[in-house]
Amino acid sequence: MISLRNLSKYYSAGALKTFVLRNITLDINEGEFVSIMGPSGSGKSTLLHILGMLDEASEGEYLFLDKPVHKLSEKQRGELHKDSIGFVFQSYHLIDELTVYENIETPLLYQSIKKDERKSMVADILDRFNIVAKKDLFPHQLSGGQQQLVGIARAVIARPKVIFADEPTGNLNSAQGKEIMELFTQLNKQGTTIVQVTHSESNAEYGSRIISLLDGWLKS
Amino acid sequence: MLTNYLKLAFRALWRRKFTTGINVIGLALGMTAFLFLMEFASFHAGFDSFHTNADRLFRIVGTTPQGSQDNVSPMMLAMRSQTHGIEAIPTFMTSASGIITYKPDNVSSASQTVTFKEEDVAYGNNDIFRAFSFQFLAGNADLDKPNTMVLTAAAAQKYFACGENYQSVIGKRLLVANQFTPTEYAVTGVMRNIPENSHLQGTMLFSLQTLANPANLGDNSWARLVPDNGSAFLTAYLLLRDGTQASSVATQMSEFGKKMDPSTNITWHLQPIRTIHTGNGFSDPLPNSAALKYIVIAVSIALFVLSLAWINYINLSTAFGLSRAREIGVRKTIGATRSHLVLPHLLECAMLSVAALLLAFTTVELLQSSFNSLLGATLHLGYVFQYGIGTWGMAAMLLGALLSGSYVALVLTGVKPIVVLRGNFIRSVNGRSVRKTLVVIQFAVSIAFIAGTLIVLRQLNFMSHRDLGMNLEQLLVIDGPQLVENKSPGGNPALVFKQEAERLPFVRQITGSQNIPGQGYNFSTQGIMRPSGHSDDAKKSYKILQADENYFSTYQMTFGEGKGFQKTDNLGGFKFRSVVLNEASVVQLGFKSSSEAVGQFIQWGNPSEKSQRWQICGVVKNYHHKSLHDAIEPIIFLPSAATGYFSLRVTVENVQANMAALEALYKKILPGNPFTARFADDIFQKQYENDVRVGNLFALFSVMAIVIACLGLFGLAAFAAESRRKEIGVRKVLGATDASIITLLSTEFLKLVAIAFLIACPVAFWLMSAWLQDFAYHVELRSGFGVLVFVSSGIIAALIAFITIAAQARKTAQANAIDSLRYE
Repeated sequence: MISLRNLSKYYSAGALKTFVLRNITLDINEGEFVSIMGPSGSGKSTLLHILGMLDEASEGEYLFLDKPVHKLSEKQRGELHKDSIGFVFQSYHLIDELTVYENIETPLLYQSIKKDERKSMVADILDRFNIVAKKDLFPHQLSGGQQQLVGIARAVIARPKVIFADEPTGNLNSAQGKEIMELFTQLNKQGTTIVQVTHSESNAEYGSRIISLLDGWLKS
Repeated sequence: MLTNYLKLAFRALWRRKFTTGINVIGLALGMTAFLFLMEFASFHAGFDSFHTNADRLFRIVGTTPQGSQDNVSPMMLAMRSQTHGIEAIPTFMTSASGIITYKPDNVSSASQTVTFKEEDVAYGNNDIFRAFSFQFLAGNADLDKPNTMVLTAAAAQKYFACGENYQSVIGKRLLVANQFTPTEYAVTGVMRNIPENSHLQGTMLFSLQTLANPANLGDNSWARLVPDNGSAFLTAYLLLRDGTQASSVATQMSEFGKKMDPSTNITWHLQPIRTIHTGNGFSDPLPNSAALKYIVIAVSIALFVLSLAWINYINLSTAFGLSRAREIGVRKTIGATRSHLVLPHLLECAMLSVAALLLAFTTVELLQSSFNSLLGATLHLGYVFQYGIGTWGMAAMLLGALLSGSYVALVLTGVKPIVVLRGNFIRSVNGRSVRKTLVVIQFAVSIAFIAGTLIVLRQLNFMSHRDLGMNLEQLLVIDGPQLVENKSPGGNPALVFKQEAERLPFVRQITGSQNIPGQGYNFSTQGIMRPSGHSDDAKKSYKILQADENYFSTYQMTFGEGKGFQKTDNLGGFKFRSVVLNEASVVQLGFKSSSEAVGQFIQWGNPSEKSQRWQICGVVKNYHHKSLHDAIEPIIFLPSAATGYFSLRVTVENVQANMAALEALYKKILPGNPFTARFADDIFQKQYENDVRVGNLFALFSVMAIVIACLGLFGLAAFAAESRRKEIGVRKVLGATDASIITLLSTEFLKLVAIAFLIACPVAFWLMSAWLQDFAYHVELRSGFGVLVFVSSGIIAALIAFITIAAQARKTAQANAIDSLRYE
């Protein structure tokens, strides 16, 4: 499903190139639950952003569902991204002006799904995540764990093929973190591919595979 | 989707009450100014458009190589029978002022009589009402019959106190006494007051046909209404039939004119009625009020102020958009495309605009009467929507909203999500230099307006304090009588009044003159020269003023050389033993000095005729007969027992009682004449009415410009303080004082004000120099005063800017450093 070939990312400052990622070659298959680990500055977030098409590689090839992402236009990438990718952030990144319901509904709006269908999809996910009672609250009225629950609900509502999660439990206490990881496991079992970046060994254990990065190199 | 967007836009605005407030107030201010100015522009642009036939209506105007004139003779109008395509020839004749009297039929007592002096008495034919769209409230026009008249509702109320019952006025008679034989006219119709945006103005119209009777004409044979009368005293219009070419009618007229008088050099033109007020372009050779200039100025200022307001919106929105960048980044990661994001921003902009527009409409409604009195006009919002220019204005406003809204939307939605999500958006934020440029523009405009206001006010002050060369204080001017019985036993009653008035205890001195300072002269003429003068000298123009021997002493003018004339210097039959000149005449006549001139002779007309020689008995020092707009002109004073105006030097006490005594005396000696008394300094100041209005407008728009600019600056300062919170926290931890932080934050903006100052100075200097050219006597900008004006405008702007910024900076500086660091 995801295939990286000799992928590098660097920033140029004059003649000097600062490498963040070096020569990454990596394959992730559909249905996998992959954890990317590594110390601060090892390039794991950058790798995740490139995988999630939020950032571009400097060199190398990236195939997503056999499509060469590195050759696609921004618009084509946007389409691919919209239909196949869900994102979960460490700091949730919910939209402050929107209620829980509206936050979850937003991705569907961008996919031009009809109102009735949207309603049932959101109702379904609120039910699944056990947050029906919270649907009219605004993000600042929720605890961190609840906010992340909404964040994940928003990421999965459009039934993406893969979820990229950037330290999804980084701001949560251990009980909340555990709940989120169990949710991921469950989603993975239902067929969603999951790629998470984490610091925590125990969280990484939930995954089926661990990828380690150090100074931009892949350690396997 | 749309309701979702609307909801979203509303919430976004509501959450950012501070920015939304500043935006709405700034936009509303700009729109208020815009609407006021568009009212003004539309009012002038829409002149004479209310006539249903406006497209087919033309004024007959003749041009000669010397210039143009809009009068025609009865002879020219005889071309009607020979020209095709003419539907009506509305014809007017205006005479000088007259006394109009209403004597009720059944009441004989004189106390019931109503008398007014009317400045313009107009005669007309019935074609006027066929061609122009004047509406009747009662009766109708029947001006082709002699001794009929129509009047406006205002005049009906003035003379007949008829209230709303205009029907009661029909059939009533008014007596008109002017240069023609006093004649009675019966009212056949009452029309609505003439709209203000009509170049034809007036309250009464008498039938021109009445003057076709030679008995009514008196000795005014020039006004005979017969086809062989070639003297041009009529103002005529043409209503052409549909499809008739105006140019071909004009050509036929010119040919007709040539046929009647082969020596004529007049070319006839048909001037479209709508261009009479505005002019057809800036260099229309036909006579017009040149209002196009005011329209262009008003529209330019309107668009300028409006763009200042939109600049504010752009500035604030892109600056505060920073806080929205995260939201946009997030939306992009969950699948939003650019169009998904642009639309809500446009909606937001639309909502802001609508809110601002509603606020602006309310403000305009509330301030309309104050604005009108400031301008001396009666404008209302209706004008904006009535005529094309207003519609274009509204379109410009929409376009502005769309452009600035789109710009903001594009800037904000242009962010890359990755940049936002990494949290280092601040360093890469777009449009910082654009915002700085916009602030510079706003302040340049503000500084220019402040400088303009200071210069206008200084010029007004200069004019009201300049030594005029005479003393207008405690000087009362009474209009002389129009109705004088020629065969009074005691001589000319006007002169009797003068004698009697002089005996009143509070009257120190009295003079009679045919015109007065602040108003005008008798006439101007060429052909006055020294007997030894060149033939070229005959082309020089002089102003003539007829006055009695007390004129100079009553107005307290000083003689440079010699003395005034005596009563006996008027030899009758326009012959004079001696005359007085002002210094400007002395120079123009070619004398080296006033002392050289006194005792010398000048002549008017044929040099061989000895009797036309006048001896110069004195030279009065130059004084400002007219406003400081005009240079002092060469004046020649002729001795005359003038009764046009009486100027009285009166004592300060009991003005009310003294006025009453004067009025009683006037009414007793000059019955039937209305008593009008004014103070000479008021008459003189009236010349500056328009200049005072310009001053008021300048002050108003500078306040507006500076408020809008400060709103923008305030917002930007708030933003700068916000985005530098961390830096300030660190500085405070390192020991920076509040004062040093306020300085840090203010300096950046004050630099912008300094740049604005450098741009504003030359522009304001140039514009205000042009404005000052309208005054022959004005303050000098290339002087200490000029420097002072510009420096103080800069300082005022900088001070206001500093207060605005410092208020914001102080808050940031005093915030707890730890809080701002923890926040990061």
